[in-house]
Amino acid sequence: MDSRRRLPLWVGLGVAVALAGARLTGWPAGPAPTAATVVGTLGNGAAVAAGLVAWVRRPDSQVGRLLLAWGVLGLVIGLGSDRGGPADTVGYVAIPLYWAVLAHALLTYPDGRAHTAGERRLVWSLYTAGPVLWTATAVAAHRAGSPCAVGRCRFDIGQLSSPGTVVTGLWLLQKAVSIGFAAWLVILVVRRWRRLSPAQRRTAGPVVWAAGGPLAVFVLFAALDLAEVRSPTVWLVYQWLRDATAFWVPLALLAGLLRTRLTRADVADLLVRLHTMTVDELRPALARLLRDPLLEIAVVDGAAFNDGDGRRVATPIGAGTLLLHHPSTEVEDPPLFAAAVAAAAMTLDNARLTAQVRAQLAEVDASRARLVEAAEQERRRIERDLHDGAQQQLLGLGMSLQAARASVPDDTSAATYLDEATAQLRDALAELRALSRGLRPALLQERGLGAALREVQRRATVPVRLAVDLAVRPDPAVETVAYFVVAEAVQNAARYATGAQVTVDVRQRADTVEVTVCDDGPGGADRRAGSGLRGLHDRVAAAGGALTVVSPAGGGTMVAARLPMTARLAATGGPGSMTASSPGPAR
Amino acid sequence: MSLRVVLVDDSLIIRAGLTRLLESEGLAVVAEAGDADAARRAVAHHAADVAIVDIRMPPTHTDEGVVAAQRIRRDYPHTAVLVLSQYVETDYALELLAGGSTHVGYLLKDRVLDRSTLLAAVWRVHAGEVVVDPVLVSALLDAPTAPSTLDRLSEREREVLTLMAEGLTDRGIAAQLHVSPKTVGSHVQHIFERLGIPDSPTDNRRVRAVLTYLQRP
Repeated sequence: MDSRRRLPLWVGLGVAVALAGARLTGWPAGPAPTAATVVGTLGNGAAVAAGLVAWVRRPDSQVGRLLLAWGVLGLVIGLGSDRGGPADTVGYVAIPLYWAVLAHALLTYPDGRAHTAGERRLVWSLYTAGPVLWTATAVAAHRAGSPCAVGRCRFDIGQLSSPGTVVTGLWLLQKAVSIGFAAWLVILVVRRWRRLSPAQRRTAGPVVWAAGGPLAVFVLFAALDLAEVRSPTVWLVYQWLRDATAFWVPLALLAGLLRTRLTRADVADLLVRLHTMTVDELRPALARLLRDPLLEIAVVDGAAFNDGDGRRVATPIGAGTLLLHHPSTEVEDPPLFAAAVAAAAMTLDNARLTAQVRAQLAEVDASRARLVEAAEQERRRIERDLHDGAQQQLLGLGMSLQAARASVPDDTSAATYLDEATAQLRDALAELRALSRGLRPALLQERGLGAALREVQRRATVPVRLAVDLAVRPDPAVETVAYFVVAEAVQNAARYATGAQVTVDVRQRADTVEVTVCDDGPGGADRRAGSGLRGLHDRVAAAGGALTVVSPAGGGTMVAARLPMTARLAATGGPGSMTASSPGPAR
Repeated sequence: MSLRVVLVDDSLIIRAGLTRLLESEGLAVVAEAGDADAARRAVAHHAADVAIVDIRMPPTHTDEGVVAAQRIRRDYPHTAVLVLSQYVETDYALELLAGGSTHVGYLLKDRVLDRSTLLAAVWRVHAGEVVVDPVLVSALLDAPTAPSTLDRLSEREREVLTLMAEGLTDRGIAAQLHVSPKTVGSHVQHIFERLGIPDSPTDNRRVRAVLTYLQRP
């Protein structure tokens, strides 16, 4: 708030301080303050203070200004009552304004604005009819030699020597109008209450009840007065009750302010907890924060959200997501609401991005597993095609050559050619067999990893110690990858670590196959160029596993692969996939 | 007398080639079959002397041949079985020889291009011997994992061990090495002692014993 807009605030504060000071010190030339004076002044002071705070904190609401005015009017009335004479006449005329301001605040809480024509009519009537009537009464009473000049004319009117029909009539009218206004107010407040959302009722409730207190006291005493129940005791009780209830309203509003302050702390708290919060936890947190238990977070597909009950508001909070809530939160504290919505949007964005990344990752894993499976099936198909097709054809051809060879004498050139052709055919078959085995060893499919690795061990040109410990057979694709890890590592050892002892260990741990190939050769595998181990790394990763190569110079080489028992585990985050990114140096 | 042979292979080319080869040598191919069930029926119906069975057959194209061979040996003891395998697979050979089987053989499929070895194997299994492809035996002997105790054997003893592993009897070994069966017998005795293999000199169990010894890790 800039200084110019603060000016009315300072003026109000100054007036209030001056009036309170005059009441409490009796300056100039007033009576010494009594206990009732002090209590009354403090009550009005509390209203002034609460009004100022509300004005500063919630400049959008009129309630702060009304509260300030209410406190000042209370002080004016009290001062008039203390001093008597003209001051009391001013105070007397301020009485209907005092109640009008309270009624205004009560009717229009929390924004301080009349919303319907009926509300505007009542507020307008309160501020006009009351002062006019009271002024008229004061003037009439003065003319009739009213003791108003010496104070307390309001309830001692019966003691006028000759009140006259005009004064008595006006006085009776005052009471009737007061009760009428009170009834009108009650009707409008009930109507307004019905329109309020649960969240608004929660905030407005204490204030309405608190303001209702003094009003009820006022109506009660107006009724007692009308019934001519008058005594100094009743007057005293009235004053005390009025002063005490005067505390309630500012206190209730202060409590409301304090609640707003807490809510701001809650927003900060929400922000702090956001990064660990799920969408499911966000809804109750927001509902608590915005004091709207019916609040919902809705995801919108295409068509806009259809606001079923007509009073819920849908506030967009991120891509395709709405906050469904009651308008009170928006009206009461826009910055708070904006902060809460921003916080919610952050969480939702976070959750959406996380879900997106997870879904993409799962899709990548799944497609990788599908690729591995497809490649595996393709290898199997080619291997079978080679076996059923080319190999059998070549063998058939060979047998034909044999038959031809049997039909020609040994020492002819035809026999020589046929023998050569047969020898070439044998070579072709051997090559085909090697090719076929490289694709996918038939034994692996038929007898599993143990049998296939024993063949690797037998064919190896370096001594291999082999231990295979598998309770069940892993996925075919996983078996193939494990097989080639061993085959490649053993072949590497044979090539680079001549004379070394190779140890192969294959064991199952829970859902994982651990393949370890160690040799005591020269090590330094990572410095050798070649695609063997790199290709292996890709194959292992594609099956959802991780390959580690440790090969310090002079310290032997260890190739270790951790593979999920089923390649599909990769898609659901199997143990292998956790370390799938650990890099293996390529030879 | 001519041997009555049943050919079991899902490849028509192989069956045709083998039929021509065997019949040119005076053997009678009495039936051909493309899978294990047809093989059993053919063996039963024709009271075949020898069944030549490919390891890979429908439906799974894995080890149907080994299973079929064992069934035939169990159910039709008068029918010898010669299994042909595309690859050297020691596990299958050992399975065939399980339980001291006789009248069985395990040859590489390439032997169809080597008519003398093939024919010899057919006759040997028919005679009740066990036949193991020499390629398989030499692979075992030359493997880096072969037991170091083999170094204790003399050159001649190694030759005898190899022929033992191929399933030859003492008489057969003697014929191969051009020595007397008695000499072979003493070599065999020596080998068993030096390697600590349980002695079962005359039974075909010894092939299995030797193979098991050779391929143990």
